[in-house]
Amino acid sequence: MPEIEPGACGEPTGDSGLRPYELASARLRAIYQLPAVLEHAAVVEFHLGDHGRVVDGEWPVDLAVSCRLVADGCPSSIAMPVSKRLHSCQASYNQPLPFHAASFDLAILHHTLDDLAAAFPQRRPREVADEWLIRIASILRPGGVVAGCGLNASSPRCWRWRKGGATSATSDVAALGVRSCQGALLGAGYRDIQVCNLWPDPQAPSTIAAVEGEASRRAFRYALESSRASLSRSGYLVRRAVVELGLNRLLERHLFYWGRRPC
Amino acid sequence: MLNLVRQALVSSGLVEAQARLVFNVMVSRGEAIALDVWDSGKDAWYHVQACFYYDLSERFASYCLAHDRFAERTPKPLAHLRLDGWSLLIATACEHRVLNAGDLTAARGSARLLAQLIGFFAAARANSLDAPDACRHDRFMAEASAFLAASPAAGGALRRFLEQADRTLWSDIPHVPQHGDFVLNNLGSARGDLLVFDWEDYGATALAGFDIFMISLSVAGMSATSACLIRDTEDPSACPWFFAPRACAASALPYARFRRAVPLYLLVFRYLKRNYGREVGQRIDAILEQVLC
Repeated sequence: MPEIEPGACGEPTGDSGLRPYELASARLRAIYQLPAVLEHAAVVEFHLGDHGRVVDGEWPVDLAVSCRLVADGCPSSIAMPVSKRLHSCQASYNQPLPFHAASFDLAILHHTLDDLAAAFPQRRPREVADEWLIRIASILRPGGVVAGCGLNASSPRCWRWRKGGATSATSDVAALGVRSCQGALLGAGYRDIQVCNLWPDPQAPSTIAAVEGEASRRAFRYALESSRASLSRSGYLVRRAVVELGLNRLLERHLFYWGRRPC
Repeated sequence: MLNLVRQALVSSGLVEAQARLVFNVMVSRGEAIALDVWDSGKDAWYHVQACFYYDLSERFASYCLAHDRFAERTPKPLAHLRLDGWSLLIATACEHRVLNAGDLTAARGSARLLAQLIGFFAAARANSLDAPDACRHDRFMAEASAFLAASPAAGGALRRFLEQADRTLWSDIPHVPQHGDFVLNNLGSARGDLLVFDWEDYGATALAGFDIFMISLSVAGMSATSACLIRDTEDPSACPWFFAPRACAASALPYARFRRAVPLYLLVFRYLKRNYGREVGQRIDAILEQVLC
């Protein structure tokens, strides 16, 4: 690992002299490609904003679809080509998804469940997540994968946001926590589930660490020891205790998860 | 891709086909994805590097050579496979923490880490005495000089240095295969013992002192000012690189000669980092220009 690294803020410009994962977008793409087999695959990303944040024409798949979820009253549309591999469409919240059953090998929910939970402030976030994970399972092929990222409802930092922003229709709502994420995926019929913490930033990820006890402790121990020089002795000891108690997985702000539709 | 990692571990005989594997994944800016894989049934850990862009077989060979020579300081490489266009390198995973500059400073008191660091350089020299793979300084410097001279980013000071460079600059430097990226990020401590990682550039250069310069620059801060201080400070006993004279002695390299070679080491540093992206190259070029001026 080189000790001289490009600056953390901002993307390098131009396309020459870049290493494969130098751009944050390349690292984001890489983590979503971890759980899936992409050869001849079809991928869909659901998003509430104008544009998806993960899927683009760079994906090495046969078909990539960027599907915008829109409020009731807006019409759904079928996927239309944007470029050779990338199609886009929109789907109304309460209408059936505009895809055939078992159409996709990978469905991406990058903060999508949080955004949906924020869009339905009258409903419990977990209910919204449960419903959408089931809807998405129906468009996955057997063996297909749902993968997503979201705020960690277990994290006190997200509790604060929920109090202040639950009705703001932004992604400040955390739909799922560590345990509810596992439960929601299992409840929707997914298997081979893995829930992870993700840091430092969902848009520029570098590490995903499984929430299972020893795996989680090991990852956080490494992260803590790497920053030990900048901590006071008491600060270090408190953090070390938190790590050894396995609490970091509950405190870390973001989750990354995936599950597979059984064959 | 995780399916391929599982497949690689199973086909290498390291895990059972039905083993429950848990993955911690690191995607840095480099060319490979690093994974620590936990076989929870056996409570065994493996470190896997997965690369779609390059073949890691040369890296695996370097790791094997390094483990042969520095078994106590390196994780054990276990297998290299190619699956579905991915190159996968598997090694034992050693839980460790990255060293920081304070660890080496504290070593003045505890002495253990420092002794192991100096011992590493002594072992490197001992291994070099009959090393059949040692590259020649002349050939390496010719390659490096040609690359840097042709680089559009080469500044005026570097061009003048290269024009005047001849073998007298390096001919009396002992021949010891170097790690090649011996910076704090690549050094770890496991229960107080020194570990050395990332051996892919091992033996690329055999200019003794290069690794000592890199760790000195790393503890002092990667800057032209630090490089100049390393070059100009006769007695560094009060400096962060206080260990450098002892490390040089272990490498049979006079400390004064080490200091004179600082510009040469920087040039080697730039050459070895030629594939690390434009921004890294620009930063080293800036250091080189200031030191050579």
